[in-house]
Amino acid sequence: MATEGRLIDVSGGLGARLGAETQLRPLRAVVRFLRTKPLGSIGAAIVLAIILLAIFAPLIAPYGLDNRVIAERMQNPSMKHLLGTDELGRDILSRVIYGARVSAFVGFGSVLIATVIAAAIGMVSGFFGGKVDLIIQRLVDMWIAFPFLILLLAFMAVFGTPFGKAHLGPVTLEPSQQRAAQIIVILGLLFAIRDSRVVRGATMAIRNNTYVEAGRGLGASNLRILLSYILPNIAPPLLVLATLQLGTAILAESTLGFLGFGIPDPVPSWGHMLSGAARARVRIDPWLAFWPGLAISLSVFAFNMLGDALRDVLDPRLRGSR
Amino acid sequence: MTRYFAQRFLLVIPTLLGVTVIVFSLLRLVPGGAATALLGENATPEQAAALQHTLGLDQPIALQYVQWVGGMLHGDLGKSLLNQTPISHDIAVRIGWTFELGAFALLFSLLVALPIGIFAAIRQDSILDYLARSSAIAFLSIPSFWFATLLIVYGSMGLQVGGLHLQFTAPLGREIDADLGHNLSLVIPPALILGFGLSGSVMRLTRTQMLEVMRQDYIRTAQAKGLELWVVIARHALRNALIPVITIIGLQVPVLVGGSVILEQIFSLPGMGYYLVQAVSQRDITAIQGVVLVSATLVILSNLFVDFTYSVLDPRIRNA
Repeated sequence: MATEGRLIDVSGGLGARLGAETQLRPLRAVVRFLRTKPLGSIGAAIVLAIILLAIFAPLIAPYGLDNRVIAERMQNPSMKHLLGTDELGRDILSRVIYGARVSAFVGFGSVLIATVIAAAIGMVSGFFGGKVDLIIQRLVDMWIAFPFLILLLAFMAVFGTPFGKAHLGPVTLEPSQQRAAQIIVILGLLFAIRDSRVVRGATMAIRNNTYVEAGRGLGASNLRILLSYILPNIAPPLLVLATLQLGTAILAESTLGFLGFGIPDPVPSWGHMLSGAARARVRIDPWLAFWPGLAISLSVFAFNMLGDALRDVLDPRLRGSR
Repeated sequence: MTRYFAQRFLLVIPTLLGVTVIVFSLLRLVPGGAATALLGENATPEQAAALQHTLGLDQPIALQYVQWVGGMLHGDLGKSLLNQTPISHDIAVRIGWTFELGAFALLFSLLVALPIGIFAAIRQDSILDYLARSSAIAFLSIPSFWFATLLIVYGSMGLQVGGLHLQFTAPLGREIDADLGHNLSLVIPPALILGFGLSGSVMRLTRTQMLEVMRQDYIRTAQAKGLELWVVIARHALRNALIPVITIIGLQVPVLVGGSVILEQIFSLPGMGYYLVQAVSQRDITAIQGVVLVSATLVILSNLFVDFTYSVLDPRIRNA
């Protein structure tokens, strides 16, 4: 709005900072999303269901997570046990619901760590360029040369099997919690290294834009530019990346569980429920193998669909290019 | 071109060096030391110290590193901490299986994913496209160990009814150049499953590349000249879309190496992945080191190969 011939930025720079690259008007965007992206919406619904199951597991699960009734073991699905029972007589439905807790916790925890670290590394590398970028990228090159699962397994070997209680200051951790913490941290770090490349690319794409120059002209420090100008504008691809990474995290955690290096019994994790030990019994009772795997597949599928839909919606380059 | 290749090759050396440092220090980070890890929590300090000395783990770290790298250059990866067998031999015997598994899996995934990806790009937003995209995402969402388990259980149930008997396990230590029929029957089932899992991402990447190529002006020109769509694709689009597909294939190598771990476990295929899982459960530090190093080297070499192929196929890279 021009007053007395001078241009006054009434928003105080808000326009540039709140995403000059993409415009998000929340509620209307959500409705439009539901209408135009049916698959993504289904994905979103499943994700929501998982989160709710994870939070309200004790209220939703008919039995506990380790409710052993040997007399009732290896039963097929029935009215009493909707998904049947496992080899120790535990209700599979309840264990699958509690398993959502593990997957959600490990998934969101690791992706949160990964996103924060990746953003830091990627923005610094992409924004400053030059020697800093060169050194950081060489280091990243080294780490991504390792196949993901192999490196993950190597870390699990370094940690060993947790047993007994561990004390971290005021907090005491059970073995299963220790293992969960180990997995979350390692997954977070490994994802962060890979994701930092994407963040770097996104940062480099916008670091020469006019509003960044304008910010500098206003006297903004590098830190301020990074946090107030760059970060909000790389948030969309970062969000897409995080969503897709959640699917990967769940797959990684369940793979660890399957191979026997994940979160130990009695805490139910979907991968572990499908593990080698369970496989032997699967020939007697095929239902054992079915449900946890279905849970994993549905969750990962949901995150992938949601991520894809978000990418289609948020990427300004793809909009209107049909 | 030789200059480009030489340049790329030189860049690989610091990466490889960094990789060896990472592998070495990673496994020295074991809390309590590798010897304690091997002996378990009940080891006395004297036992641990004695084992450390026997295994040469009490020498200065830098010296150990130099010895290790020096040994590597002679093809010696050290001895397994558990049974003192030379690791390079252990890996050499097993890597054939992993290679076979990976190669077949890649072949299957390409056979499935390339045509579907191209077709989905041409008929963008059609029902077929949506179907292809959804199934691609489904394939990469389904954990291979679940798919494999279901296939084995339900498949063997069905096959028993049909009177067939498919062997799903391989004896350990079996030589790779055994009788071809038997060899294939052991490798094809896991390769199919691994291939399916891969085909999801390959299909999506192919589709994206194809879409980008189809938007180019020269495609429009070719069509404007009156050429049939299929001719346009075969003569112009395909060649240019396939170049990034080479990169895509290169990207699958780490996925293949990782995926083979799972499938070798399920099908008891005595490959490198199976060896790794064994070593991890027994915390055989040097063996793990060996496998991790070999895997990383394979990935780096395959990236180099992909870059080289790229420069051969795309003159723009060559003459940059």
